[in-house]
Amino acid sequence: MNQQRIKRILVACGTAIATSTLVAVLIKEEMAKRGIQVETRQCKATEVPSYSQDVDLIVSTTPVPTNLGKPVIQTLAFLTGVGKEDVLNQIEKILKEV
Amino acid sequence: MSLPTGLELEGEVHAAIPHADVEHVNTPSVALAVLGKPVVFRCMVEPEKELPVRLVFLLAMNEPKKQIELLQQVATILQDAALLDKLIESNSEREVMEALGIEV
Repeated sequence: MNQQRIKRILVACGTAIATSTLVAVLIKEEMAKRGIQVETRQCKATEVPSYSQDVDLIVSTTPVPTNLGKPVIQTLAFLTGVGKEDVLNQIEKILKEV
Repeated sequence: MSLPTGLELEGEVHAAIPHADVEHVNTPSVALAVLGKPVVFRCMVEPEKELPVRLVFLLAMNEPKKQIELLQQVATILQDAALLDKLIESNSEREVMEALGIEV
């Protein structure tokens, strides 16, 4: 386990514009508070298979394939606030394990 | 390809955030529609789920990385149950603007 390494998160949404931008910023902020350095990359949901090879986690606000061999979190919590703390804990746990 | 934009919120009021690709936006802005009768939108993350939506935030953004604050403001509104109630009870543009703290 190497907690110093910068963890890579692929953030996806339908258009790679609105929601993934917000999610990427919020994940970076929240993980920084928890002492985890995160690098994010945004893409459209349809591009996830081609961008997923070198990432530690995929977070999406829209359905994406879950059979890519990477952990996937599909959530609207960063927009709606519903279950946000749970999702953050889940992300932290996954990033600490990879 | 269809990309639903419905958001299931904590309470009874649900919202949607339709938006287009950046190249279709001439002037960045946000339009808010407060619907008297709910319109069914499908949920963004679970498209099989239908949501009765009362608030539609139409997001027109051309440089989202520079418009983070705006996105955060929308998310903040979506998470403020009292404000959502105030918005759907509004009967005029002025009331909506006042609820949002925008000078009329």
